[in-house]
Amino acid sequence: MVNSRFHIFPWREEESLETGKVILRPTVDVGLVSGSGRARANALIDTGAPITVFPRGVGDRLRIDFPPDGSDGDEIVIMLGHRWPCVVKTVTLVLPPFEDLEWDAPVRFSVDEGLPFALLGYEGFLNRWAVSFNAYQGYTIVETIESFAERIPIDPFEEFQKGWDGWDRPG
Amino acid sequence: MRFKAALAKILAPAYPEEMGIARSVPSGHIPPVPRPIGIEQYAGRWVAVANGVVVAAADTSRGLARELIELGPAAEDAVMQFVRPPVAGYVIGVG
Repeated sequence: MVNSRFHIFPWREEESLETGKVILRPTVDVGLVSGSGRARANALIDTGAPITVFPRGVGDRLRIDFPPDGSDGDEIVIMLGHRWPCVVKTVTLVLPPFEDLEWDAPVRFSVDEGLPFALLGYEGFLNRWAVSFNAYQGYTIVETIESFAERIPIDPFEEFQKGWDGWDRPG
Repeated sequence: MRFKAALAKILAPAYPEEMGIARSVPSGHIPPVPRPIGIEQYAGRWVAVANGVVVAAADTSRGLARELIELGPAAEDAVMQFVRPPVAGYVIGVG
């Protein structure tokens, strides 16, 4: 119980359809630090995203150096059917109320204006925390790996290893 | 015996104390966090929100960053976000 650290993040109203129906998404406010630059931004926890991405303005707020407009940047990321040149920068991330558990991770910052969201994906977020979605009851729990391990009655890795003899590649 | 077994089931926490007492039936629904009041008027723009109030707005994220830098420490904790205008259909997947 000593290591139990978790927080409940309720689903949030993020946008609406033209019909007036409100769309809920698992978003959080996350902090970023790079050198003397600081920023906070609303970001979607995206289990389908392999990386963590922020829009240009968040990078500007952090005083990150960007190449000229129209440049390919460090990497191309394809989102919403568009190619987004991105700068890759390792920054410090902070998820309130876990201010004491900040972590460093590579983040992609869009070079071009127009990206209308930030994504917390596998690299940089999901591989640092245990995240449980309970949309039935309206919340997402983010917790430390230690907290997750404490409340699960078995060791998932040990269970996995029982009788496991390597993966058979399909086909 | 059945009473004792039922009582033991109720009293035995399945999770650490901080996670609350395990319940066999879900006990409710947490209402979603509402959007800040009046944020609709910024549809299609970038805003910075602090304590539920829009403290800066701009047409682009870059413009918003400039505004926040000008505001200085007072806007340090303001959260940057894009205000999506009402959309015709669901936006799912970004790849």
